[in-house]
Amino acid sequence: MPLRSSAYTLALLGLSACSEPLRFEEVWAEADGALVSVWGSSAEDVWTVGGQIEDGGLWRGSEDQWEAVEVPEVGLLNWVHGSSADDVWIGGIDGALLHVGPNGVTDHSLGVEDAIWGVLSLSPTEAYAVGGSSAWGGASARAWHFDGSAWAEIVIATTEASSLFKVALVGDEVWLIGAGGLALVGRGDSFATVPTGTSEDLVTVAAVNGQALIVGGRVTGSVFLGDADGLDEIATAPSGLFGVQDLGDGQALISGVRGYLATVDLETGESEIIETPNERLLHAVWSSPGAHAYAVGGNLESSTGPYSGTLLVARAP
Amino acid sequence: MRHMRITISILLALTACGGNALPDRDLPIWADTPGDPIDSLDAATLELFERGREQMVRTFDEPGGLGPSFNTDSCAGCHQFPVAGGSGPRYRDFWLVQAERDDGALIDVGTNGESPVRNLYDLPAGHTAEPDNASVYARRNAPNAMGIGLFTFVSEDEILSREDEDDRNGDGISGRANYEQGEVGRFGYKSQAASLESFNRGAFFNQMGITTDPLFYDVPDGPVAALSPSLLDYLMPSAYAQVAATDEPTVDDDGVPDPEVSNEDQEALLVFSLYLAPLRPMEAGDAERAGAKLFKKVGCVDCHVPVLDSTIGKLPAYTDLLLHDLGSEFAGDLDVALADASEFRTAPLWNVSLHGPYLHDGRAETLEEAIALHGGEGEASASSFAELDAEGQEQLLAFLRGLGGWDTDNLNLIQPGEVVPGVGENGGPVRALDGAEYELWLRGREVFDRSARTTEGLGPFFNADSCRACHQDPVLGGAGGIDTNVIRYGTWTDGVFSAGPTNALPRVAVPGERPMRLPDGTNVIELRNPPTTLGTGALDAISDAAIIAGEDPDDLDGDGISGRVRMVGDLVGRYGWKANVPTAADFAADALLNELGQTIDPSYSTFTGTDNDAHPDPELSGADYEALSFYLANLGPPQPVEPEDTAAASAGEVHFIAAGCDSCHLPDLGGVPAYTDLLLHDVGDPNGAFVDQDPGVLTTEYRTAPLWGVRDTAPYLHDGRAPTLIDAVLSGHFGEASAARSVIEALSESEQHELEAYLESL
Repeated sequence: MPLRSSAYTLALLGLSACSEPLRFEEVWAEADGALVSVWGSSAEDVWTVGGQIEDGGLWRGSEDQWEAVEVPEVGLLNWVHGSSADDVWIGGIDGALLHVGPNGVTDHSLGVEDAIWGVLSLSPTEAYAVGGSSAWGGASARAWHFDGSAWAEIVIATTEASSLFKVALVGDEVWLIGAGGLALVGRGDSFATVPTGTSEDLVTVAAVNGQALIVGGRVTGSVFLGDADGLDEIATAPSGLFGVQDLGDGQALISGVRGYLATVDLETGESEIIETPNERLLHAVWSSPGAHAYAVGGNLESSTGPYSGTLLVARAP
Repeated sequence: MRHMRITISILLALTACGGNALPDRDLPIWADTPGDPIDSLDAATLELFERGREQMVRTFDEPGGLGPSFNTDSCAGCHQFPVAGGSGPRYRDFWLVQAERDDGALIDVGTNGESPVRNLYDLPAGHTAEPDNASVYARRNAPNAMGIGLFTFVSEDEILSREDEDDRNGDGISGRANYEQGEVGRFGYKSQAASLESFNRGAFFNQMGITTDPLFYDVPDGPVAALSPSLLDYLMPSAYAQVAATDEPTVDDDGVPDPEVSNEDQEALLVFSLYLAPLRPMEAGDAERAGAKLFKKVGCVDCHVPVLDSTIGKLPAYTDLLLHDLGSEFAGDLDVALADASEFRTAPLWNVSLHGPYLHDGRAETLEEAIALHGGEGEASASSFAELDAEGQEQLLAFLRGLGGWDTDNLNLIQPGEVVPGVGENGGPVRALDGAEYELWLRGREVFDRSARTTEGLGPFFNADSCRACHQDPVLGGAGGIDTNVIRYGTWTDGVFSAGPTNALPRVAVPGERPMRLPDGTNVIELRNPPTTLGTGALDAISDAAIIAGEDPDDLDGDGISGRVRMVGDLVGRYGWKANVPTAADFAADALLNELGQTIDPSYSTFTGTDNDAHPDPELSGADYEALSFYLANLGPPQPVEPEDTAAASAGEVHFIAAGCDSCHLPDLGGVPAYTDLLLHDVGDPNGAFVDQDPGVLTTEYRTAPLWGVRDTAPYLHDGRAPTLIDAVLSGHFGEASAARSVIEALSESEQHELEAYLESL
């Protein structure tokens, strides 16, 4: 443990103190399918999901070593999150919902036409999924809660939003965010609307010191920081943003279209753009103390595919 | 892949004139004739350019995908001065609309899905319902598009090199770039569009409800990845990116399969807008040279940068393509991407003479006004301009006017030197006029065509800024498209009709005013499509007796047709869909008042009135009104054409007569072959909902529409509901016309085509 703690500290310094900018290299250039989401149970056990419209894919590994994991026949997979390596939920289009537990992959698909855009696993007895329309427009934002035995839809306050995109734990509360500036906060099956003050699409949320750090925007990007009382726009970006990850020490990693990667100083709002090796849409980022930082994406500008993916790594010192 | 190859070829077409060693003022980009492409395009690209021009003027209708919500039915509907691709007259202004949510967020509440663009028209409802909670109305005047596509070839570095967001050099100017999906913006009043394709597709969808597919993402990794590196170097990837939009297909629910414009047609339009050339600047004289120095001295050049470098040479566009804060007077606008409400892209000044009104919302009638309205970062320059003596101001203005298009009339669609149609031609006079008469007729024609300014009493609310606005198909004096429909409205309650406070819902308001809304409770809307005014004089000349002779109000002859005369005082009504106006002169007075908001001396006509704008009545001079009346009274009829298929047209005439169409559409009324009896007939859909604004006239009664020249007046019927002539028969002939409709309904498809062939020959 002491050794591990030292590694944590060093890694944290390496990734967040900004003494040196993060340097990403592409370690997987032509994945057979888009890589839409990335999450790790540990530095050595990183998961990424995506695939093709008709053929969802799951890969596990780290750095430049990745192995495909067989999954049931589902479409494109959109998000992966777990409470541990033995309790991982994966959501995808057409209501696809997979669980990876000690006994392998099981299919818990919801039997709905809506896409599952985001999942959150807090424990084997508490998980969330959010989603909605696969196309623009319509008031079809939906959310579901898993209590350890079954999934049940959460009744959402009146909304005209087409989708909820992501879900994350912030402090002790669960945040659901989505189109048109929609944000809800609560737990279980009870959620209240956050007065976000923005009509921008809110795409991904992460927790930072008890606050919600949210990225979004479509034509251009926005970074918001706030709590249940409201959000402040702390930074903007030239492109719509999709990925966000707290790096510690007041820094966050954000990603967007055309290979956009940057660190943002959460106090000043100043951004530092990170050079990337290609102009693929980077849909998600992930890192944790001691782990490398990962960014995944692909040619997701196309709504129909076929897709190919990219995986970038910034190695921890 | 095919689309990509075409795009490569259109970009390659420029390579013969590429390079940066071109002289400042003698670039091959200039055109001497409005609407021409830049020089040096190869033959294939020129052909594509001309196909693109066809798309620019292409009129969309409901079967072709127009709507469900729209403002106009063609690109040229807005970009029309002095030719297709030019700037928009004031009556085409539109609004961007947002509403404030409970938490303070401003949300787009325009009527095309995600867009803030407010659409005036809706199919089939007629008018798009105004959001109750709209709180932000940002007005837009369509800018000239000539030369604008060439900004594609300006590199991002060139634009970003002038950014000074924090005004580090302390000059009070702090331009910054806007972005679209990570690309530096360059098109639109807020530099909100980074690519020409994105801009075009946005206009297709937001202004016309026309759906498109993205052009450049039909290969797995996008076309850029498919090109060879050497070719990429040659073409400049950034320029390529500025052509292509990274976006989703647009879709709507109007029942027409998406996309509603093929990629081939969209591509042709892209080429047209890419290579539509700016007009050549004038050879500078002493005044223009002095003005150029003053332009620099007062600091205009700090934002209106004279020349941008591009991959095709220098572009003297007088813009930096950056956003600048124009001050608190502009703060009522929208935030667009990274642009705050009061931030706007530096307007390109080449061809500035083609504009008017000026600024993004047309709030300035003149260049002087436009300069004076510059606040914020432009305030110092505006003040410096104001401090110039009169000669200096005129020199600077002369310099601006000389930046291309100075000899173009931006108030009239008819340009100096254009050939005037003669007797026997569409749009020509009804007879040979002697010298003085002809001069008066020409002056009236000019009044008919001229866009009225707000300083001439236009408004405060109006449908058109000229007679021409609604009467220009196929020539000046003709009919109006579906996008010039007038919106009549009212409320039916328990069988009682209440008219609204205005004759019709005005489509536009003068700058500073928000658009008028339909009153709460309005439950009926009925459109009025502008008919042709060709032949007005001939209709004027028909005797009252000839018209009265045809009426049979009690159907005494038992043929089921019972037309009646509409008397207006002591005169026979003969103009308007309800025959509510007796003379051409009254028709002009009525239209001036109700469509333009312009008053005339009441001694001329009882069809004028007063309005409450700042301009004293009468607003149109007696001399202009007399000329206008004379023009209309002597405007020749539409000319018949030789049918392409004579046999079909002959057979069609037989159907026309057999069905009894000629019972109302008289081939000869007092010697005039207008195919009308000028009588009211009860032919409206008994199940339809109509306004009741004509006392003594049934809501279902309409004047028999003249059919001469009908081939050029689509859409048809009083409300423009029918895109084709057969549609007009089948969807708009009930009551007295039921028998005729039934006969035509029973015709075979080929027989119906024969009837159409006949009608189109009239």
